[in-house]
Amino acid sequence: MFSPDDTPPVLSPELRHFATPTPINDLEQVIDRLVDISLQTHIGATRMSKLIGNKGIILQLFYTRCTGVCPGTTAMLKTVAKQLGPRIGKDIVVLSLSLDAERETLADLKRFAEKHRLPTGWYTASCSKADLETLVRQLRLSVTASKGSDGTIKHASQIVYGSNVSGRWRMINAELPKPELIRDMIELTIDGLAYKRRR
Amino acid sequence: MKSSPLQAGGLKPFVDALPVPGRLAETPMSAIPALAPRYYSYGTPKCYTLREHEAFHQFHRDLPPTLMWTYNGTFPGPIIAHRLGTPAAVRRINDLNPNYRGFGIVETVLHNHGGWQSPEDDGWPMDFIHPGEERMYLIPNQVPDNDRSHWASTVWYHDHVADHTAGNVYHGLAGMVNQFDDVDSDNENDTNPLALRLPSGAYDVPLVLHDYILNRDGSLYFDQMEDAGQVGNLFCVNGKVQPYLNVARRKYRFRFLCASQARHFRLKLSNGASFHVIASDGGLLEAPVEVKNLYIVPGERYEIIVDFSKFPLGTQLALINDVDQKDGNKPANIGRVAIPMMLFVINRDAPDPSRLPAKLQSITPPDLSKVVATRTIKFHRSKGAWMINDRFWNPDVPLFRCRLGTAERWIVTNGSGGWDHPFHVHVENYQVLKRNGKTPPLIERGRKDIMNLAGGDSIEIFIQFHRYAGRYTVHCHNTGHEDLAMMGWVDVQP
Repeated sequence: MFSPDDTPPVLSPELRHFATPTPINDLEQVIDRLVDISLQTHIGATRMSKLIGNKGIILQLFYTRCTGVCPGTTAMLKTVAKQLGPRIGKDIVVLSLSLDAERETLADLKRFAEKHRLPTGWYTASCSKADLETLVRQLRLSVTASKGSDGTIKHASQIVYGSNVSGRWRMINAELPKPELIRDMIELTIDGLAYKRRR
Repeated sequence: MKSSPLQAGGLKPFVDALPVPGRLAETPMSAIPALAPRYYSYGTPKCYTLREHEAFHQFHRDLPPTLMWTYNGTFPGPIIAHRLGTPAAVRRINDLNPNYRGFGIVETVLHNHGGWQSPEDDGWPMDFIHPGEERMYLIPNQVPDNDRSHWASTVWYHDHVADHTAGNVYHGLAGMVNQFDDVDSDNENDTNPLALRLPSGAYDVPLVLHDYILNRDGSLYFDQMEDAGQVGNLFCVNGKVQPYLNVARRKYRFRFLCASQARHFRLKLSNGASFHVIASDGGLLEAPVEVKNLYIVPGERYEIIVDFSKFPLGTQLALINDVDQKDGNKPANIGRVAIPMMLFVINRDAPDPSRLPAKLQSITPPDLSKVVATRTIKFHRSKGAWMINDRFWNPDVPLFRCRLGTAERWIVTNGSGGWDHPFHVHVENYQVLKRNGKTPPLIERGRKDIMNLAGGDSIEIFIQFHRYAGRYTVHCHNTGHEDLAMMGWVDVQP
């Protein structure tokens, strides 16, 4: 690499309008660790940081009354969790966090977990509306309550995965046709060096 | 750390000289592991080494150094100069920090973008290596079917790992390849009558375009959750914010590579002077095309000749981008802003033996009699996500299957007005038959591997599968879209 001349030019008068300095952006810090919000999980109260610990996390934003994308996302995640087998709970947690902070009850969360026979290490949870807004903003996800009175919430079927340890965060659409691919992307991102499944 | 200029209002333009990446030196055969027989398939190769490792890079004199991921310690990476007919074996060593924390992933893939090589040497997104590992690539530097038209072109290499390409390329894993042959011979004094004698040496200058966002401590700002693709506020050429280049009163060849994630540029000179486009992604055009501006999108390359002898000594010319882009989706408007990218300062005279020939080459026209299938490839957004033909990327299932030795007509569309998608095919170049039902403009009539699809656009291309069977990756080169599964592959079967 060479620089042919290191004496900056004196800008000619006709170009001085191009001399405006570019400000450095003071942007809000991008995602590094998931915001440490309080959670009410189906098995008790905790905080996000404690729930994750040093594990990777798969985060599904859902609500138990959803009849839109959530049933499909949950079904896909169950397949992924089955493929991950004993890793769920051991080094990866799954958090299904409700977008319906106002209506979701502990009983709803427990019922959902029982109905779907969620394995140990997969938590259903809710949090305060303010905390939910903070998290959704951090994840840059679009979530909007329906204008109608039916209580539906419009949201994409993205699941977020990553790790507070590695600082790597990605999202993937749960409608991808192959749960194996979702599993691969999650493991590649969370495991890094330990991931060996080239395809 | 010099913080006062930042506090005073930002980074001044034109205070750093344009750095020009050096050419990568050949690695002695004795310094690399013994090559398998396949690396001799096209003759004894020249060997090169690319080592991926962290290194500090300074974007601007008033900014603290930025820790980047580099090839051989520089950003952009060194230029690899290939000669058609002389194969190359490229050894890639992943020496990135295994304990790195943050965006991107230290498991990496090397894609030779625009090169004609077997899919196994092309950079399949799941064919990554970990830190501490290495692998070889065979770059044949051959010409398909002994095509008499010439194929030397500006190619580039960059990371292509699944799910993390945007972050890894933003970290700095990108560099340029210059291909030469007897026609485009890298010698403006060439006495070979075939040689075009285009500007060469110090007058053949790569210009790698980027946009970045940096934090005040010099670290990279990157939003891992931005699904439209991130656009930056710092306009960089060869890794410097708005640099300057002292030039002589003579002809220069500039090779533009848009290595941005999502930003488009329309380039022009501040005095409105025209220049000549001589090449696009896949090599020289048939003849120089005189233009007053040049539109370029992520992944795309164009080469131009600027003749500074038309201007008096002391003239300063800014290279301007007049695309206003607020987010990764698409430009907000074109022609209403004037963003300086760099400054040319004409500060000396110099002899100019180079030429700008009226005729550059004859490009073999598409042989439509070889077309065995017409297919539609639709880039679109659905279910809140990016898709191709209603599908997400799936490494196990191709978009469709093609037959080696045949040609196809693909109609590639972007149905939405909300987003642009630079359409890229690996391994083979293509030729554009029509853009929106019309003959494409002159600068799009060469061989291409990137074509921008604005909302509602439809292009018709001719593509041949000459020699290599295997997986040809097809994707949007807004790498934010690509990482969110706007990618597929074509299975070319023997």
